[in-house]
Amino acid sequence: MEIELRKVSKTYRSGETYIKALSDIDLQIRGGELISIIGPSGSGKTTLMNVVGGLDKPTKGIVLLDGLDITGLSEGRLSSIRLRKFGFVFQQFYLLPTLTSFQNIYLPIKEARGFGQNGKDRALELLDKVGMKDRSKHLPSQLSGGEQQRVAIARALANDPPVILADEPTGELDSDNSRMIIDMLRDLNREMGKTVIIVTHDPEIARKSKRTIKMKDGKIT
Amino acid sequence: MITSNITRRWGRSSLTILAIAISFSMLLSLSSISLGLHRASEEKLGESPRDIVVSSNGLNPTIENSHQLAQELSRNENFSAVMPLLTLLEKLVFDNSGRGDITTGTDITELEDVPLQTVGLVGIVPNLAEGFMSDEKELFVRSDILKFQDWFDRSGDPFFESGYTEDWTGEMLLDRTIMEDHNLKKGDQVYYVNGSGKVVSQFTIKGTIETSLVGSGLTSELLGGIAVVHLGELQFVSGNHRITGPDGVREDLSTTLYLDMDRDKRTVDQRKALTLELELMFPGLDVSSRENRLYRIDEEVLVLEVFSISVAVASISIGVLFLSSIMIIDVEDRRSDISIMRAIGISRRTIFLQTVMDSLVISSAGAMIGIVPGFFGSRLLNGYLQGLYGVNIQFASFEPGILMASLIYLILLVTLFSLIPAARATTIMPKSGMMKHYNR
Repeated sequence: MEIELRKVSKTYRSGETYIKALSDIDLQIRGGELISIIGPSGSGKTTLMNVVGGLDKPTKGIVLLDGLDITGLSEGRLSSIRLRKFGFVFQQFYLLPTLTSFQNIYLPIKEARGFGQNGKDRALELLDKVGMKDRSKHLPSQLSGGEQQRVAIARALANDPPVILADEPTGELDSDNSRMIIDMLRDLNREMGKTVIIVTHDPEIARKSKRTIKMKDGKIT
Repeated sequence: MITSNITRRWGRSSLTILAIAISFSMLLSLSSISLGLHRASEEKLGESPRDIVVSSNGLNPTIENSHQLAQELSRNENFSAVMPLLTLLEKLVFDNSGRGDITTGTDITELEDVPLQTVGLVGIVPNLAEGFMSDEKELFVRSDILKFQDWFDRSGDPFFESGYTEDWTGEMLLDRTIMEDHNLKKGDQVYYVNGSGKVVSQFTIKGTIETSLVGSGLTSELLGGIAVVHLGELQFVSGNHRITGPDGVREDLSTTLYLDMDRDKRTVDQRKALTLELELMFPGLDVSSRENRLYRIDEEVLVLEVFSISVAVASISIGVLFLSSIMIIDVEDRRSDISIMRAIGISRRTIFLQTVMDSLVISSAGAMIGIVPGFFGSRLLNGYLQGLYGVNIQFASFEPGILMASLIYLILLVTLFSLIPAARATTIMPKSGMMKHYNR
């Protein structure tokens, strides 16, 4: 899936102050790319990822997904796009605490109804793929950080989206787990042809990507 | 997945389920009372053979020459039986110790340790009353049922027939509750006390009657039961045999005439036509057909029914409002979870339905738990009311229909009130609660 940002800006209001998180961003991402977005804290990396993934709407400019302008779409349409076109991996994992590993993955599968009767099989397959099949009935509170992130990756793959967006996926993990997670994300790109966009402040991770986008003060440098 | 949110906050969910269980059990119990009252009034009063009743307004006897009138009307081809009736509230003194020193003219203030009670006194002509009694020896008086365990030895009204001069029978049939309260037995003496507080006449207890309260009437527990005597004798002791006034002399006064129609002529239209005729014949008196009376009694029972249902509905509404409040709090608590769900693409519709389902699951659990106490509650209320009124009426009618109706009402109410928390859940945007999740 091709992603294009044209003159995208994002301004947040904080009390009486206006914060310009993104400033006139022009960006093209082709299908199958492995991209790192790197920059210091407050550079706008997460905001850029949120705008790409439809979690946030730009104040100015447009975002095109395979030529479709998603900027003016309703929240309902955006939700459907996020469900089927994007997989999100967050720094804090963001698994639903009352659902088991299996249920966390099955939830978006069930919502999309793309796998029909085979949805549960799909969820188990994904759990197996990330090496968590024997922890399918565990709640997130019963899993380590690395295990939770693996389940989060499986959830991101639930509806076989073309794009994976990972926002500081190793931020809460130790080095061994970090390495494992990055390797998983690279495998998704290499073996499954998915577009993987990783937001990070770690240059080591950026080095492993095919393309690096550097950001500072809301701009691509 | 539906129950995961409920089990997550088990303490809060349990309390909510308990609240629903309590209010649902009240809904069931009180609804069963309402239905029971309705059924009891319809069933018992539907059995009444009295087609038309002519009565004075209140307890003031105004039907003159009632014995003669009854005879004349019974010769009317439309009626198969007619009987006059006198009903009064009067004081009686009971001699339960056989002291023998109470005589006519005694002032009751001179009597010590003698039970004195105001009762409902009913004067009938026994052989005419038999024509209005059911096979179970039940007679409807006003809105109440008198069940006779014993009967008069003298079937007519001999004291009246003698012109109120001789052949005094002194027979009295007394309410079983009065007999028990004052330790009385057949053969004991009962004395009628007039308005001046003097003993004027003596009666002998010949037997007992049981009274059933259906709607308001003479046998309310507040009046302490009833006693039945010959009509002429009651007229005489109460002064209603002859009253001289500015309008002249009025004799043989009664409060009511019961008229039973010929079986072949018992249609609603014929009853209505006869009722109209009698209204013209007795201006100033109340003439009512069975339909009017059932309607009036239905109205009285309706008040109780409406009261029961209102309390029942209020209780379940409070339970459901409590549930709705808890769900609103729950939605706020789950703000971060909901925003994560929105971020990964779960639709507003799914979130809305999930919230409504959570409410329905909690209320269903509460309802299931509430069925058993609801059933036993209706039994308890039934027993209490039977004991209170000393009657054998089924006040509570617990049926599958009541249960179904209550469940349907609960589901509708819960669905309605859960719309508020559900709508609130859909306003939560992706990302908005995610930082809170992180900080949890």
